[in-house]
Amino acid sequence: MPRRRSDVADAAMRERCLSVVLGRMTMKALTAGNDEDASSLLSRWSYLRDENESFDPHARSIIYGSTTKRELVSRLVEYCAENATVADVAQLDLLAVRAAGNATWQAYELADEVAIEGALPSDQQLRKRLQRALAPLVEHDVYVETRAGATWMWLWMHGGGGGRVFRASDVVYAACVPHTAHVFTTRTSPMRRRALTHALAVTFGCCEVREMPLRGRCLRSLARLALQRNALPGLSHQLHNELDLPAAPPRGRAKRAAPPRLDGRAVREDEGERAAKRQRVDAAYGTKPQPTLEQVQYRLKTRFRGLQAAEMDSGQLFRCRVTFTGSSVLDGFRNLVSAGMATWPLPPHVSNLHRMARNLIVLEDRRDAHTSG
Amino acid sequence: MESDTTLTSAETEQWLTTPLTQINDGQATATSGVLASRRSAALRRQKSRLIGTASTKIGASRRRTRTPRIQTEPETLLAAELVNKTWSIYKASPLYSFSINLLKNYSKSLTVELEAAIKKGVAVGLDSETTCKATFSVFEGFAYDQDGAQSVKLSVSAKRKQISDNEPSEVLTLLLTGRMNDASKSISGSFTCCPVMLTRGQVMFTDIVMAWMQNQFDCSIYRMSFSQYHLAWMVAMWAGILPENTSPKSVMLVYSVPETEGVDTLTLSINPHDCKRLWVSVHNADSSSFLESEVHTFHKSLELHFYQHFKIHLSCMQLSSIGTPIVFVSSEGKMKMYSVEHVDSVLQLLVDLIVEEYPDRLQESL
Repeated sequence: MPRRRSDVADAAMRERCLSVVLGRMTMKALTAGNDEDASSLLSRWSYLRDENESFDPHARSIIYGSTTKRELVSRLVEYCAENATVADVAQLDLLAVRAAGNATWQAYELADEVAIEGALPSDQQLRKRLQRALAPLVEHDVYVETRAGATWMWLWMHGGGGGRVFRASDVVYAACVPHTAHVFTTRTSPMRRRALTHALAVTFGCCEVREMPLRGRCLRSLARLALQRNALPGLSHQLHNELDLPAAPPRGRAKRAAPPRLDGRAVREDEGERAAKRQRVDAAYGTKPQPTLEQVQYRLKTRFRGLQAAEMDSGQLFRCRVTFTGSSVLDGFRNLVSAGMATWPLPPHVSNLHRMARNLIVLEDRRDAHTSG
Repeated sequence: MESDTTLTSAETEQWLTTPLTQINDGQATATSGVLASRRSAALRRQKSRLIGTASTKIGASRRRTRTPRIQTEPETLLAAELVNKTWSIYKASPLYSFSINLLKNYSKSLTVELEAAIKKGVAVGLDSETTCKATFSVFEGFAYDQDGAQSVKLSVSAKRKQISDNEPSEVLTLLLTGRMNDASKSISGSFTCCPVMLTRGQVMFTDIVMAWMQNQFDCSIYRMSFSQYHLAWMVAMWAGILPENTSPKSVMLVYSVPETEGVDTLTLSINPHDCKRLWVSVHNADSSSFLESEVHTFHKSLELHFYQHFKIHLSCMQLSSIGTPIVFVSSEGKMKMYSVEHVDSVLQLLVDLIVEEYPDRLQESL
C-alpha cells in the first residue's frame, strides 16, 4: 500500500528526532554496561523492551556490535525510526538528560504560593492541560512522565506550517517536585519561555509563574534550596542536614584524590584550634554535603572599604561583581573556613546562602550609613 | 564618572613611555656596565620589571632600559591582525643565521617539512589528501625599532587536493617580533633577536613549526608564562587606561583557590571607571613613574575591600589571569588585546620580560 505523504514526512521527522537525540549522547552513555547485563541507557528505554521487560536482542546486538558512534546511531535509527513515536523519542531524551546531569535548570516560583498538591494529576491529564494551554500559542508536542520522585515534561515547541523539523534547541525540559510551589526548566529562547510560563501558570492554576534568581545543574539541590527559602533557622538546619532526599550523585567530587597522608613524625601544633574551628563550622553548616550550586555571584554596589577609602570620593560607589565558581560553592565556603582562608563568622549573605534560594545577590550600603558617610 | 584627579591623555602617554627611575624607597638608581654580583642581578631584574611597559627615552644612556620601542602604523591593519584575537605567547632565544632576505627559502623549507609530517601521519586529523603551504612575509606596518626593522608573519594554510574549488583555510598564524635586519646590531653578527612569538591556530601545526624553527635556527622556543607578580603589575599599570570611543571592559582579576574542594575560581570584575579612581588615588599624578609600593597599595586596597564584604583572604588565592580595558592575559601565556592604540605598550612589556631572562652578556649586547 503506497505510503501517504504525511506518513513519509512523519517518518522522516521521527528519523531526524532519533538521530539528534542519539547523536547528543556520548558513546560511553550509549554502550555503558556490557553484553551480559545490558545496563546501558538504551536498555532502560521502554521501546527496546518487550512485553516481558527483557531487552530486545537485536537492539542489544546493534549496541554492543557497533564499533563507532556513527555506526551505532545509524543502525539504531534505521531499526527504530519506522515505528518509534515522538513520545518514545521524548522518553529517551529525558533518560539522557537525567543521566547526563549537565543541563542548567532555572527555578520558577508559582505565585500566590499555590502548592502543587500531593495528588498531582496523572501524566495523561497533565499532558492534556499543557497541550490545551500551549495550543493557542505555538505548535508543540508534549510528553510527561513521572520518574525519580519528580514529574518531567518534554516540550517540543516548533514552528508549524511547512513541516515539523526537529531541532534540539526547540525542546524545553521542565520538572516539578510534588508538594512544592516550584518548577524548574532548562533555558530556552524568550518566545518559548513566555509560552512555557503561561502554559505552566494555566496548567497549575496560578496567576503567575515568577522567575527566581536561582539556577544550577543539580536539580535536587535547587529543589532543596528553593524549599529552604525563608525557612526558620532551626527548620533550615534540620532541612539542611536531615532532609531525606536521595543524595545527588557525586559529580566531580569522587574523582578528587584522597587527602595526602601526613608523615607520622609531623606534629600539628594547632590541632586544638582546628578542632574548635571544625566544630563551629559543623554547627553552622552541618556535616552532610551542602546543596550543589556551581556558581554564586554577588553584585557589590557599596562604597569603597579598602586602604584608599579616605582618598576616594566617599559619595561614590565602587561597583564590582564577585563570582564564585566550582563544583559546590556552598561546600567551598565551609572548606575555606576550615582551611583558614576565611575568617569565622562569615557575613550573613555568605553563611545564610542556603536559605536565600538564589545565586545572584546584590549588596548595597544601608541608606542611613550611606548618607551619613 | 571621572574624578578630579583623572589623568589627561597626554599625562597618560608620558606615564607610559617614561622609564621607571625609582624603586622601593624612591632612590634613583642607574646602571652602568655589567653588575657582577647575584644580588645586583636580582635588583636589576626587579628594577627592569618595575619599568614595565616603559620604553627608552630618546638618548637615555642606561643599557638596561634600551629595549627598542615597537612602532606601529596603520591601525586598521593592526585591528585586523592583532586585536580581538586570542594569542598564545612564546619566547624565543636568538635565532642563528636568520635573514629577512631569505623568507622565500624558509617558506619552501617549512612547506616541505609540513608535507612530510602529513605523509608520516604525524598530523592528526589530516590525511595524505591534504596539502599545506607555509608563507613567511614581512608584517607591514609593525616595525620593531626605529631603524625600521620589520616583524615577520608566518601563515600556514591547508586544503584538500581533490576539491579544486576548496579555498585553503588558514590553520596557523605566527608573528615574530624582534630585530629582523641583517645589520650589525644583530648579536655577534650571527644571531638575530626576536624574543616574542605570537601564535594562533592549531596546536598540531604549532608544534611542527616550532620544531622546525628550533632545528633550522638553532634556537629554543618555550611557552611564556606569567607569575602572579607580573600579572599584578599588569593590572595595576593598565587598569587606569580607558580607551576612547569604546565602552571600556571591566577590570577583571581571576583567582584560583588552592587545595579547597567546592570553590575553584573566584572572579572579581570591577567597573573600569571605579577602578581608575582607585588607581588615581594610589598613584602620584605628579610623578612620571610609578612604584612597586603603589602597585602593592592598589592590590592591598582591593583585598581589604573584598575582605570587608566576605571575610575571605584574597591574599591566599593565586592570581591566574587578569583583564583590563586594553588586554586580557592569563598565567598560561594567553593574551587578547582589545585596543589598537596600546598594542605597542603591551608587546613592549612582553619583550622586556623575555629579554630580562637572557644571560647578562646577551643583554649587554642588545
